Amino acid sequence: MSDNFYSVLKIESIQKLKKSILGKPSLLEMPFDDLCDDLHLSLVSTNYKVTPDIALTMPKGATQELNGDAENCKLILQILPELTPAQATDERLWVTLCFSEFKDYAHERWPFRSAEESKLQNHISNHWFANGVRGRMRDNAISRLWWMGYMAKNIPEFSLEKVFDILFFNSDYRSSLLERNSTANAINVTTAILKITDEAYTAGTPFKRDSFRNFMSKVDTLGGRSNLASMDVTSLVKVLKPIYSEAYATKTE
Amino acid sequence: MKSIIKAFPYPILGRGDDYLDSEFQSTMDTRKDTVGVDEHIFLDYSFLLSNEDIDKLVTGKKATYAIDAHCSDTLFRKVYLVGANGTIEFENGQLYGKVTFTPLVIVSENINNFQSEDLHEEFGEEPFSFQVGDIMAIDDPQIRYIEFDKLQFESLVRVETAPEIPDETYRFRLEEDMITILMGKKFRHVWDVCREERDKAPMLAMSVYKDCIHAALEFTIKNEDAEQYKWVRALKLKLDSLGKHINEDSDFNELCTQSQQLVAKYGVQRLMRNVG
Repeated sequence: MSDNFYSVLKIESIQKLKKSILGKPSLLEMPFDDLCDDLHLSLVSTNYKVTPDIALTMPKGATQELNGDAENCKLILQILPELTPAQATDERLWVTLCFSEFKDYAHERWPFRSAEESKLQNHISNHWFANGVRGRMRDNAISRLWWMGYMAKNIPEFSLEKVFDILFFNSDYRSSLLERNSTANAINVTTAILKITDEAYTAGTPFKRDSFRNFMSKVDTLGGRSNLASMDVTSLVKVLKPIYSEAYATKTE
Repeated sequence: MKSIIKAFPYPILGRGDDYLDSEFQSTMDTRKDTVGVDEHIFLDYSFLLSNEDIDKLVTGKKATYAIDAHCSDTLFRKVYLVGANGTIEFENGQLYGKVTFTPLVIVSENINNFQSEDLHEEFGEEPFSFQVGDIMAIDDPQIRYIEFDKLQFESLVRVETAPEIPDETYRFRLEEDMITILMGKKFRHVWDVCREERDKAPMLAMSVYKDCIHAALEFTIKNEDAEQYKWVRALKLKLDSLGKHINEDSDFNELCTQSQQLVAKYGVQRLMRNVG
């Protein structure tokens, strides 16, 4: 990588690459330059800046504690320091990074473990390509790190470290909170929920998947009546805290 | 089309006939302007509210005009509490793709005993209570498409030989950022030969490209999530620039006519020049 404008695969080349790899998954093992030569892929210059010499941490295992996601979310923000959300919608960037600079990381973080070969195509589509909002936010090996890092960076009342401490405590909590296109997309709502959950953890109420899902479902219901995104964080905490307590008091199966 | 059709425990101006003669209307325009070296988006807005009872609440700061800005591509959602008119500036790169601006009047202080003479009689005479964040009025959401890479629709259409389809046919693959026109082997041969010939190339535009536009328009109408694809956004921008719009109720003939008009300069207009 060099510290200048980054070149990405053209849209047509990405389609060609996807079609070729889904037809012949062993191509995933081929170095990027060879792929470009063999498949006649072409690149186009962009104004995306990529910082050289920063590598992602290799995962040491599959668990939350070992997968290195929290650290890599911070690193990817340094690797792509000026990237805007609009630029981060560009599948060309994420696919190029996956197949070139971060190919080893993508392989390590998202190894194909299933015995079902039929799932391999989905696995490749999800983690090596980046189609749609969910694909970028949740699935692509690199873009998911940037989007989580970006959202965490924009939470105003916590340090980045603190946000990651809360978010990466449990993957289900994180996906219930961030990987959805709902009221919680508003930063003030996300902040209020982080405050409530952090306070609850500190007070000794552990995360419970069903209870939290129940809570988020009630938040969405309330968001149908009131425009939560229009409220300030203090008011939101006041409104949402009793709902959180109620959701955690309700016995779930 | 007003977006709120679900049941609310209170009346909303702009939803159905909750209010009989009152109106809440907005005007919104987006523009791009350079700030320093960046291109920012500006939303110019103004509201018109004809219900005196809600207007008094706005004047008394118990309710406020608001614009709910939502961009699902960039996961941006923010509600701007605003005055009756003004401008909102969005920083470079905050918005991309489909952006929805919903004009609202939102409660900013809890309100008890709200009554309005203009309410539909089914609401009865009991006063209503509103809590902070409740929506008192809503106007049609305004949708805008923000693009920065300015890809032309024409650059997002490609041709590919497809041995798996019948030799003398073509079809379209639409669920990707580019439209792919898949051609059977023999058709592709005809295509490659004819597109180089002045008198034959327009025929291809009038058949293949016209069908392609027709399929694209139909796909755009039938798929709610269509804007996730670059070609859909480019097509909508192209139509916008031509002063045309996609009518969701278009029948076959209307779509066919629109498609013919969009390829006219590559097809019938060239033929007319050839014919003299």
